[in-house]
Amino acid sequence: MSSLHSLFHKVAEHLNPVLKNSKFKETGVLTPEEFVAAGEYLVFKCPTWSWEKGHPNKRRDYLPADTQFLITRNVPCLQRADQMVFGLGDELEQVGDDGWVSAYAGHKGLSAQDEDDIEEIGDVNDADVQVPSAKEIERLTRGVEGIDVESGEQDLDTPLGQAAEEEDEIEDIPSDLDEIPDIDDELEGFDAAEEDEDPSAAAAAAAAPTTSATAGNGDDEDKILRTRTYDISITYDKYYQTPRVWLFGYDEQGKPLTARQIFEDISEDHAKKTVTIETHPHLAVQQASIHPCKHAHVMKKIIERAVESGRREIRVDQYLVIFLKFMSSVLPTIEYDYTMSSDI
Amino acid sequence: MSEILRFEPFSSAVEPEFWASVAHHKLHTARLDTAARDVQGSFGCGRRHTVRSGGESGQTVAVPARLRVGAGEEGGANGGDIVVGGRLHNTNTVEDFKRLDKGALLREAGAAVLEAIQSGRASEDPSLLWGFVVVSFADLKRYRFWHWFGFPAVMADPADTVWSAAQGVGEAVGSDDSELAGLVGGCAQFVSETRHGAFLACRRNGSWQVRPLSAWGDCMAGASSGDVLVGFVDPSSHGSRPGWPLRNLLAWVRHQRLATRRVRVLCFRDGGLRGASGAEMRQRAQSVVVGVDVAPGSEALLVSGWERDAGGRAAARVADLSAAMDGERLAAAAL
Repeated sequence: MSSLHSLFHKVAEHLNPVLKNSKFKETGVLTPEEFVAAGEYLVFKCPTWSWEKGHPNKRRDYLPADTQFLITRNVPCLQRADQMVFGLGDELEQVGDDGWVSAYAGHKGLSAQDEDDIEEIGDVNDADVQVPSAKEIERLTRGVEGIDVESGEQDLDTPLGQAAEEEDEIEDIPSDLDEIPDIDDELEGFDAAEEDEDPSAAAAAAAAPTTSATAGNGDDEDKILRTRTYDISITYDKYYQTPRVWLFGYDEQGKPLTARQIFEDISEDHAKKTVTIETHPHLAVQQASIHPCKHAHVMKKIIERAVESGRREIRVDQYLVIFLKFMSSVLPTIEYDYTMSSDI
Repeated sequence: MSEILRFEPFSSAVEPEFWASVAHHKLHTARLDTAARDVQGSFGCGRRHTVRSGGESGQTVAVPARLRVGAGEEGGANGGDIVVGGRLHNTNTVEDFKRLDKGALLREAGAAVLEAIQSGRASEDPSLLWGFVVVSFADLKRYRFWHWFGFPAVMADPADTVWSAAQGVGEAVGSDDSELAGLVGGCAQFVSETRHGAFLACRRNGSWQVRPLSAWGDCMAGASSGDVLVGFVDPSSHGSRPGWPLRNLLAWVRHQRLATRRVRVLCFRDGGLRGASGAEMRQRAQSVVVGVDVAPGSEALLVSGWERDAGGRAAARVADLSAAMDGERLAAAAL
């Protein structure tokens, strides 16, 4: 949406002082130091995540140079969110759905609506927030006490669900999103590169999602899937004092996804309400981001309910692991790693 | 006839940051100069994902091996990733892009790999085995980036074959947990400390030592064939097929004048298991050991490796980044 909103956010972030004292139990927010500690814990527990330095010009001085933001890459996404048979979102209490900030209004142009949004953001009412149910919190906090051991023994022979692209038209996406250009037409006229005959290259047909085997090679043990993949990063949002999730996606052929396509992988409750396309704070490109205006509130509820239900207190360095579990209800089909190894 | 060893091809993963830096360089430095330029990419261990969404949760899927290019130093590589160099040929027009002699570019890159093997430089720096080629045309008005990656593989003629089918590293090592932990942990440590994507693992008196490729003579001296593994960081996560980097590593092995043609290859996929206990490694290790019959080499240099699309055709690609690189927004972000 609007560059006005971005600008507002940037100015506000600049003026907002860096949070010094821990308030995570009271309000669900993090100091930069706590963000780094929680990031270290995540990287330690889930080595698919790592720290990045980002663009030198965009370095935030309240974070150490080497730990500017977290990233995990090449995360598969097998199906679109609306194909989910069971949605985690269903388990959430739908409190005051109307109260969600409609932060996304297409990434070009500016409307009067935008200015309203700006005032709305940053002022969180209890009633606005979609709070996970007790059952959901039970699920979210479970891993913290040391389970979720991955079993390596899986049946790889079972064909996967319909991972191929769906045909459904999505009708209610804002119409000003970029149309997907038909680039393939333009690629005609390219000569296949001269190349020597190569018997050792795995037959590419084996890579298609529906193919069960390379004929006669005994390779049917395995499914190499061509799925969408995502690079997911987590930055520290100084204004909201919470982590913020950014998405960049690639299609089955490795081409960048359009915003419209990315929206297909975000649960319907959030896709058009809390996802914005903005310039990544540490990179030079725009990405889709889950707007963080409700994160602190939801995290506070999760922390409170975990304590109420008699569980161990949640430590601040466990924040991101729980946060990612909460995010999995927003990104139900993106298979990023938030599990822990068994040695907790 | 024994089964031909097949490899899981690389697919390129180009982060938008890479195109942003190409565009910046083109506008501010290179302008109409089309001289090839060095770029860097990286790859890491392949891994399998346990699916939590849809269908039966708990299913495991393997995702394709990727060679990633990003921006800045080391292509934006992660800690345990292997950094490799590439040559970017950026043309001024789409016609030039189509006209580039791609066969010649790939052969040239393959010849450089062979030279690095023959001169012994690859033994000191295995990343020289994996130089890649990118041809591109940047349509800066529309933020479209035409590109094609080539991952040159020096082909074995005749092809290398499998003499011992792929098995998990746990089975290959036997039932001794501490031995397994020594091998997997030793490899993970070696890779993260040296950033070498290829190495040797030698068993002496029941414990594994991980050494650089240059220790080949030492390792082989007096060792029985089961006690030496030629290891590499394997971006493939396929159950039995090793990833593309093994191809040029086998060309290196071919050059070492073996007494036996049979080697055991460790396709190392457990960079994340450094420091885990033996029991945990037995449960979670995904590395694979495969026995390869290394064919005697032929004189001719045969190279393959232009990236193919899902249908198996060699084809160029276009990345449309108009949404991610809209000029006004970038200006506002003060790049």
